Amino acid sequence: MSKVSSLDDFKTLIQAGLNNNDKSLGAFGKLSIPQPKAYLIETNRKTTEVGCPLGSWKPLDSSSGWYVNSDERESDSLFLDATSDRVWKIYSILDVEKSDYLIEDWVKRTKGLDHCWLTRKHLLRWEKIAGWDQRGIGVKFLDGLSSIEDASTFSLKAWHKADERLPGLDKIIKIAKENFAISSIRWENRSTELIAEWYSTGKVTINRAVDVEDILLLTTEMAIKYQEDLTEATGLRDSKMGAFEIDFSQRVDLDAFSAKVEQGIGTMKLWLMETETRPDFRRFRGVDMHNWDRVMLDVGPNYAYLTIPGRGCVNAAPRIASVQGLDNAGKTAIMFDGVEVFG
Amino acid sequence: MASYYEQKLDTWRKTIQLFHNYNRPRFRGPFLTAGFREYKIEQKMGDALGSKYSIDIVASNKESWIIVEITTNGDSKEPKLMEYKNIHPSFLGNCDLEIPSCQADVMTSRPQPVNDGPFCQIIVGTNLEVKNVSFIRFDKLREALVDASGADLSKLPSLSVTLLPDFNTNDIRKGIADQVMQLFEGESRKKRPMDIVDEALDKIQDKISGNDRQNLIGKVQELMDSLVNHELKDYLVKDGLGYYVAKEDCSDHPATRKKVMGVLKDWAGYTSPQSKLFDFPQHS
Repeated sequence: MSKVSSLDDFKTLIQAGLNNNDKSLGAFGKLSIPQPKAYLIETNRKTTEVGCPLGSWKPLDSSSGWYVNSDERESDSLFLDATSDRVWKIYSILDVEKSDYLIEDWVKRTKGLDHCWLTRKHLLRWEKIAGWDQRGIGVKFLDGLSSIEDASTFSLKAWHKADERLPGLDKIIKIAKENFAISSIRWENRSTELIAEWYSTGKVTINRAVDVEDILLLTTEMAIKYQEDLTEATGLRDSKMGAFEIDFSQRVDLDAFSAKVEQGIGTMKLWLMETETRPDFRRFRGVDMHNWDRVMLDVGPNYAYLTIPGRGCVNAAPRIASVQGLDNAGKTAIMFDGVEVFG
Repeated sequence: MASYYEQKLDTWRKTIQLFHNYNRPRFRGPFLTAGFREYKIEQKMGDALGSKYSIDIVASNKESWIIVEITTNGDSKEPKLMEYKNIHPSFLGNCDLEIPSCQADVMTSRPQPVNDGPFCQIIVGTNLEVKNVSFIRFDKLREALVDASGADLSKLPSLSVTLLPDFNTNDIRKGIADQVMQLFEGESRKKRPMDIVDEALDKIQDKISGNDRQNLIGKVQELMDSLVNHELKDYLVKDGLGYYVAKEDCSDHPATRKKVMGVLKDWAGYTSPQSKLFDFPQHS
């Protein structure tokens, strides 16, 4: 039976976890809670249509748009803020493996839902804001167009504070960051004592926080930014006939790319038909198997043009940039008319 | 060799992209450079005498406006362009465009040069060529067109429009092949011929006549019926309501996708891509 019945209860529970307050946690039937996490979900659906990753959603009292999960075993572990109709936030106090699996599975099997795919610009947005320091970074390159034997995969996760004790680490991080996709990044706010790790899949893990309100503010800020970006991109899709341009740092092997997408295999989940072939340029048309919407992708060695027909979801732009970046394209940026969008 | 309609779509694509910028490879669309950020396609406009015209592309900014007639026709467009000169700028208000107080710069955009009289011609071949640029009165546009001359147009992005009225059978197959792929999502993605046509027409969907649309729907139905009864009979079916849909037991599997891709490429005429020629070693 759910013990969290209002937004205040939710905040009290999270706050009790931050304070390690046994008594307060006990009131909610918990001994402790893991680090809170939030997932930004891009949606074209209503809450009544999508089900719940664990059990079912139950509305919170007098808080329109907020829900808590009700489950036989693990009630009060997922909290949905659906106050926005385009980007939802799910706060989770489940263990990270279980939480990631449940959200991933729910998004995958529910038509009309997707992750908010954070671009490099999104992930680095606190770089120029006073009071924020970068405290860690994860960089990944799967080399997904090469065979398993030949793949030059790269993975790095480092905490910046350690670089004082390891001369040269800062330089390595800089080179990796400029060549490959950022999979996650950790930021610290000195004044609020908040440390949060943002992932390119739209997840944030709160490593440390003092006040639950700071967690909600941080998550909401990014959700608002992402929603604004989606609105801008939708306007471009509807009013212009130009394409989104995705610039890469890695050279893409066009033959290998073609072989993968014609079968719809690999991380990219693109099933595309090659319609024009030149040594340094290919045109493709087909479907993005994340949502089976049509896409047109014209690919050069270090760039791609993405055209989204009809009412196709513009979330394809950050998704393809992010997924292809991690898989084979390295550092990516999304442009429209030569100006960076999404971020 | 590209069909007449493929060439028509290609001419539209290259002309539209003159309103856009791309960083890789670097391309500065001369219309955008001249400040034409907003453009509209297939607009109805008129003149003071009550004549009505269907304009391919119209664009404006505070200082100037342009009318672009897109054609793959080998005949001169001079008489038509002369008429366009009489269109009053007030009609721009109906297109939700800014209204400058001047006459339009009128021009054609074509794949090959043809004598269009005293009008600028944008030649959108492999590279951009501009003829009679001196007839452009808006200085910024004239300079932008001169600067952009010679730009490579061959790798500019695809358009979302994949079907045009009067497409022949081969062109239609190419124009709808990706929608056939979409059907493999399963029952939730079933389509009727009219859905396929409207989606392929995309941004020009409400710009074409009812007759043209009906003709296309008829041709698409014929092609799709044949496809589900022959080439893809093991995978697709037409239901009682006229929707094309994937068969229940049609599994979403890489091997299936590979096989379907082979069939569809043959069907749409995309097999034997030119690149295979480059794959062979060069012999002296």
